[in-house]
Amino acid sequence: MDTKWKKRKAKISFICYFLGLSLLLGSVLNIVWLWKGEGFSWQKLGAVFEHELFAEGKEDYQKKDSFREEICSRLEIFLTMATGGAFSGTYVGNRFVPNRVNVTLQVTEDGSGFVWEKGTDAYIIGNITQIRPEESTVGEITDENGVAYYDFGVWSQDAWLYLDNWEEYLEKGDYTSGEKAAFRDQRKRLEEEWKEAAQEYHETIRGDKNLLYGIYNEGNLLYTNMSGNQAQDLLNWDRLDADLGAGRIPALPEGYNFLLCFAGGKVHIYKDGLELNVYGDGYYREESDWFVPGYTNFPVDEAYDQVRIYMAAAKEPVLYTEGRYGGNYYQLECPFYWMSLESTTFPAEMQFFLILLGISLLFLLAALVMKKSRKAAARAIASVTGKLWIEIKVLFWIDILGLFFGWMHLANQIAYGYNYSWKDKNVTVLALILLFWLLYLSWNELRYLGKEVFLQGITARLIRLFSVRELKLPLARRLMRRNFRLFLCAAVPGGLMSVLLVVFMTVLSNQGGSSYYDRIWQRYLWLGILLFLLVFLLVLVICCYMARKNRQTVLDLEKLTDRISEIRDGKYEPDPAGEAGGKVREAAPPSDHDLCQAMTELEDIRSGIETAIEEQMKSERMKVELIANVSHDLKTPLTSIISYVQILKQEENLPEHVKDYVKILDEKSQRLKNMVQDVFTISKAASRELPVNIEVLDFGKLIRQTLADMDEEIQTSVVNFRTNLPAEPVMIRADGQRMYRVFQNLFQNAIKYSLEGSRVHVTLRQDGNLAVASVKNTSRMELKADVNYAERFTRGDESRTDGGSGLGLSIAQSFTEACGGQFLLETIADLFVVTVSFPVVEEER
Amino acid sequence: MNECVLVVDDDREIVKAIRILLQREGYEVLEAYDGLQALDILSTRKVHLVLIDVMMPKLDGLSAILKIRERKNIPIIVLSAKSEDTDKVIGLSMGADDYVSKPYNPQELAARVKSQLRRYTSLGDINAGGQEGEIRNGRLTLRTEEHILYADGEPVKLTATETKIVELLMRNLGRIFPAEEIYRRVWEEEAFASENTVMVHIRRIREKLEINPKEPEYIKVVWGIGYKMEKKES
Repeated sequence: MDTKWKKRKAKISFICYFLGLSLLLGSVLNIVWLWKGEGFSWQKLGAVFEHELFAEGKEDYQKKDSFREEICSRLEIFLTMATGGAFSGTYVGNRFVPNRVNVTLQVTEDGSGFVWEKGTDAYIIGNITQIRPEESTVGEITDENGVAYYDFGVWSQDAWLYLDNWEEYLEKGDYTSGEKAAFRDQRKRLEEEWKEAAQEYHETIRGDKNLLYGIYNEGNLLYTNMSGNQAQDLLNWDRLDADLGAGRIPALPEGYNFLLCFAGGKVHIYKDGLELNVYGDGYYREESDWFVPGYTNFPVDEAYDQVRIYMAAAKEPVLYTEGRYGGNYYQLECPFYWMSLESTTFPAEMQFFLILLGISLLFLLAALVMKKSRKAAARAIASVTGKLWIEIKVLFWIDILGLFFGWMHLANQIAYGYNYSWKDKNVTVLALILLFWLLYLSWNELRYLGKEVFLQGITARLIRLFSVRELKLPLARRLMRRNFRLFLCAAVPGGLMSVLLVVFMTVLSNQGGSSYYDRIWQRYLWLGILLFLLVFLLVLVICCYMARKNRQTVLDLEKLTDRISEIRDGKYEPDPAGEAGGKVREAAPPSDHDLCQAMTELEDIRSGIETAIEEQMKSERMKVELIANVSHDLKTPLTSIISYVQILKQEENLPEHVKDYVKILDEKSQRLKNMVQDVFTISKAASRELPVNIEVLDFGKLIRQTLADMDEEIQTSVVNFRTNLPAEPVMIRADGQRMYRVFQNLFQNAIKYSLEGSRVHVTLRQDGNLAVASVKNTSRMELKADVNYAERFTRGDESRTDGGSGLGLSIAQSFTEACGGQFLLETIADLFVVTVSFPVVEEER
Repeated sequence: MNECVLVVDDDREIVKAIRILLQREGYEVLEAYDGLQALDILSTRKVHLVLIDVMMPKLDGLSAILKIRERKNIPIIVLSAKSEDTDKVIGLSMGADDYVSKPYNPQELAARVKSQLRRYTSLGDINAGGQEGEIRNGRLTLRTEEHILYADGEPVKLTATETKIVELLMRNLGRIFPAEEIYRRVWEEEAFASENTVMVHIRRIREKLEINPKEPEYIKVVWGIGYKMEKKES
């Protein structure tokens, strides 16, 4: 329940984070975009806040940059139309788009010729007066420096004819009177053309009554789109001049609040009954609002003194449609209408995004509160995305970056936002948000997976596939290296070959002929190369597959050898120590592994040994338990026997022979007691249940102490002890108490079974890093070569009548082994040799 | 008045043998054959020492010891067929004062009973607080000024050298002395072939102050290292 809630919480927090950031990004981008488009001002910001929530806003479209630009460009066109200047236009669909022909003719910087610009074309020509009328091409023109210019077309002949001062050029030119007449004709024809174009334009725009206009020259009303009465009421040359001269505002038709008047080379603009300051300090600058003639640095020549232009803009533009009955109707362009439409949505739109911004901040706050859970979610996401190959990610990013540069024009839109449609903006914003989240994913992955990110990929996989670092077995390493060489054998020549082929073919197809047969040949060759590449790829894949199989086998081989070593070292447990949680080692690899059978069989052997050893241990334990129980049960009656023998011994009035019997009873009961104790000890030692207290001790001192302890026995015995013990300490690791018992038994044995008057040799020497102690004695009885004297209950004396339990040597052996030493018994003829050896401990102190 | 000893064992013959043994030593002997019976007798009679078997019907020895220790501070000797070291440790930690494994040596048993009783009856008040110039360890007390060693309050007859050795070991309870060091400090000569000499003395001392010299409780040989006096609780 708890974990479920945690998971859910993680999801919720991440969704909050995701929505918050996405909305934040989207709203901020949109807001920036909108402001860029509108041009930021505090007033506009105020308008946004004053605007009623969720209501459609109205804003004065006449304050927009686009409105001013439209007005200025119209004025320019009207001025051209008024003076009959160069004017042309093209039809786009059924719409006439005006194209004022802008012609300039300037002397080049070095004064050698002229630069002539017509529209967007620019040409350099040598001497304008060299041009003859009707000359279609001028051809090569050489300047003073001998540099040749080329003339590219028929246009050059009428270059200056487009200029206002064309007559000057006509006079200047070295023309005959016939030629001059021809030029005049040509000019006249041009003027006719321009006039037609202007008329055409006028026809196109006259229907859009959002802008009322009147164009005069030299007292004549040339063009207007006002109807008769209106025109007579409003448009009157003298009245307009009088109004302007007196500083009065010229009359405006109803529903119109914007008026531009051009008179005497100056522009007057009135809006809502007030005159606007058009020229500022009189100089035109980049930031000036109105690009109109009349600035000190933007004058017009005298030809325009007699021009009057009247332009009135509607307060609330509407969409005009023209019906052409008998034909079809069409909508007029009405740019102001669309402007007003756009402008009305601005505050509302801005409000919308500001609200969105607020919501996004709320989401982010929620995400911040659940930061911990979000981390869990982020980690989960990283683990999912981390599964993707790094190569794919790298390729993807390279691609994305490429795309991003391709999106430069989208970026431009962000920077200069106007004149782009909604759709473009949304695409850009969405793309940016997407880009942000992709960046986030990459960053997230790096953060939580770190280096692991790079391990997930073909390259890393290949490296791991052929890596020998984790292999210990020399054979395994060799096999893996062979694998790698095999792979190289396929990859290197194949790779080189394919690169060569592709380069060769590219060169061939660039240079080869392009006849039909050549093309056929090339096609087949390309097909062949493609086939080769496919086969090459297939070979590589097969190589990798086999390498993987081989690696699996090699790893199994390592496991197998490890397991064999373990078994050799006596580890039969199925679960090797150190593995946590008691996880059982997998008994055998999956059956598709090559070494499956070997491993399964080894496992069988292991479990067989394990069972056998367990059985053995069990029976050993049972034996010990049995002996322990028996010896315990023996002890109780023995206690009584000993007690009562003691009581009998203290009885005073016993006959001598009875005292003799009691003595025998006493001796035998004591012996029985010793035997019971020995049996108990030996059974414990045999079952390795003997507790030992291992410490570092001096082997030589131990033997000396034992000898000293038994001094009395030795002195009273029939044998002599000869000792050869080093004076310096020989340190070993053993249980002193147990080892004392070992040597006590050995010495007692020697005393008991040695030939009378013979010598017992006790020596200790250091042999390499082994401390070897030996006890040698000559047996009284003949020693049988085939008897193991350390075996339990074995004695030199078969009749078993002496005092020993027959366990002395056996105990000595068990104790030595329990302490980690080696116990060796040898018989050479009648010489009885026991060696006890321990590894020497390097002295630390 | 003779000291009264309570013998508890489910084996009646053993109880009888012990009774005979202890009566000869002059103790009054009470008999019980299981733990409950023992507790009954203890609640009605004045008992100075308890000898108790471990494995018994009704109430086993160890539980009985726990019950006895709730009320009485008398010495308790455990008598058991279990001879493992761990069994001994368990018995002693349950509150027993001594542990004798079966089959026991009757003389040794008698000696242990005597030792415990002496410490309990005649030395009880002395045990309560240490005196100046005394080193005490278990049943041993060394009067340093007089250089006399007492075992269960009785002086032990030691030679001058033996006394010196015992003093050295008593003053450094638990510390292991190599034979060379003992030799140097007691004989005040450079040690040479000291092992035998020291060992002979140690053995003699053990015979004088240990109850069972074959299984010494106080003076111990640390095989391969040296000798030490085991530290005992008072």
